[in-house]
Amino acid sequence: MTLDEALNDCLERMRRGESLDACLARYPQHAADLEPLLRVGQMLRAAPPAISAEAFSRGRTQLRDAALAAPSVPWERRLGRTLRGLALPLGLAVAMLAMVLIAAAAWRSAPGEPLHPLQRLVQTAALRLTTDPAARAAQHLALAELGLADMKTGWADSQEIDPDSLSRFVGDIDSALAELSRAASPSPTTLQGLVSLAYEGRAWLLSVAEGLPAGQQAALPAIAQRLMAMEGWAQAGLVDPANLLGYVSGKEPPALPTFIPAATASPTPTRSPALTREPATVTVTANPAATPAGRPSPTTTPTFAPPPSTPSPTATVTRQGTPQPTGAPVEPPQTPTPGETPEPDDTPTAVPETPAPTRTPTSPPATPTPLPSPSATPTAAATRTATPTWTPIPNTATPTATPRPNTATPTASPRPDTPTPTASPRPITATPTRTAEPTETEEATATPEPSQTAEPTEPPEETETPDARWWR
Amino acid sequence: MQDVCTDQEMVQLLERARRRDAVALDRLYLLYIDKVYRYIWYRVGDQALAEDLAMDVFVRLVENIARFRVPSEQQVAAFSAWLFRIAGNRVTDHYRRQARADRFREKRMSELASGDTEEQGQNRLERLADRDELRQAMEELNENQRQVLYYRFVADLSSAQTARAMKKSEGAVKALQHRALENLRRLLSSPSKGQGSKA
Repeated sequence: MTLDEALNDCLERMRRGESLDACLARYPQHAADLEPLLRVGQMLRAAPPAISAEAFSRGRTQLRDAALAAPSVPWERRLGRTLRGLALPLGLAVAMLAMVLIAAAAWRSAPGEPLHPLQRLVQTAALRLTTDPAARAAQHLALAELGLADMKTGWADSQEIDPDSLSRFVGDIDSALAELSRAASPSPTTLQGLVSLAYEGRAWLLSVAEGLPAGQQAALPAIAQRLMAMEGWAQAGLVDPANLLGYVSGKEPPALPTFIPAATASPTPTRSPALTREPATVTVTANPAATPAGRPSPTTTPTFAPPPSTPSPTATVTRQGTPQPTGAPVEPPQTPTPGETPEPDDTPTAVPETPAPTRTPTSPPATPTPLPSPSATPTAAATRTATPTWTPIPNTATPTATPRPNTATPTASPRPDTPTPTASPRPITATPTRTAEPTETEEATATPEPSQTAEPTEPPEETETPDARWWR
Repeated sequence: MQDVCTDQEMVQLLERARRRDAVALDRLYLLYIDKVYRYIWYRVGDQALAEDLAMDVFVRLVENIARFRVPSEQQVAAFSAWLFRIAGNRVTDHYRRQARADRFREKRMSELASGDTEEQGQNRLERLADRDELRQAMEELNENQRQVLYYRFVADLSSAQTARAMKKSEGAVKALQHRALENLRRLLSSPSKGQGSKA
């Protein structure tokens, strides 16, 4: 037993009345050390003089008087004290409940409603409380939707786009994509929503671009390109979630073709004074078994072709010249038969009479063969559409366009939101008359001859190109 | 001399005392008046003042007993700690109002010595001097050591109860009381009694 233990045991025994000597006898090995300590303890107990009998009695009387004098607290006061004690917790609870109700109301509020300004605050708070990347992506998407709605409201009110709202809109889509790239299993629904929202935002910006100040107009192309790139990433994620991993690592977007369903309406421009040949679209059925050898020319790498959304195929203008560096004439593009979906190895039915442009953009890649890669995932396309039609990138009116590598590989699956070959082209197509600048240069800015550019008098459906002035 | 009260008894006693039960309050007085007085005496060094302040502590107890709430298994230790805090506050208040402790002690010592024979008076003064040395030596200890000695030798708590009152382990209390007694012994046996540095 240690000295601490022995000392404590002795002190406890002496507390109960045992003598000091008896305690020391219990611990002869520690007796020499224990004795002075125990004597100090005895001194401590004995030192204070005993309280006087008079003081003892006086104190007892004082206590009794105090007990009688102190009124017993009536129940009303006890209740009052209790309520006062509960006031703070109750107040806090009521305040928290009110905040929850306000937050819930703000969450569902529509633009223009009094609580709408709180909506972003509430959603941002919810986002900060979420750790799951997939859930965070969905919340970023909700914030992006909110941002787009706010921009639209602001536009309707003042014909202005709040730069912060625009920045948040793009930033939230970017964040959603980044979160999806971190998610263990990115939600296809969120990815599809992202594609739709990016496209919707881009289309809306296009629709209001003319009314914007020059400064904002100048910035819009870059924003549109960014949205388009994110759209492409989301599509790539739909094909294979692993593709998203490249997004945050700063890789180039995966080479994906833009899926454009074949036009169903006849391309019949009503007025085409300068039109020397029909706008042609080479359509290729996305048949998994299709061999690249069966594909007709042109073999250029298509760039950007917006998915059709309106049934106005007459406005669809496709690239009419092969952007080969040699400047060889382009294989005449085919005009699809309305309502028909040609097989991939179909011979184009429409052969333009006019020669191919002698000036070809320099921008197309050196290996502009948009042949389907054997590693394509046609199953995705097959599951979405029975016979999806692939359109080689209709770089259309702007030969200056740089073919986007991500839209060049027909191995990608078709756009999830336009899986039907009969779908109409999107309205966002460049007007050939605006972008076709006949120049004699061999640079990428070279444009085909005006005669080769379809100039439908009908409102043309612009085919987007990276540098097309799509917002006009 | 020490009245023993278990935790269970203390629970019932305190519950009745909260309802201003005179019998329960009187029982608490009997249980604790000596401990409170002795504790105050160690702090002020004057019997009459310690008695007055001890009376005041029990009046405060009656006024504030309704606020005392602790788990039932710690009633004795917790009540002792609570009561000693009241006593400590009363001492502090006293010194704050009138800084006359030294004058009180000198006056009292001369009063006590005046009525005795020379030998009786000398013995009493020696005892008073010893007590005063003990008090001064106590003041040389650090707060924890002083506190453990108050709980163990003034409040007469067991080591387990002291541990609960001080919110320490019982082993820590055993070691602490050992160091406190050792330091106190050293201070009392040194040539300059009570003048050493803080232990």
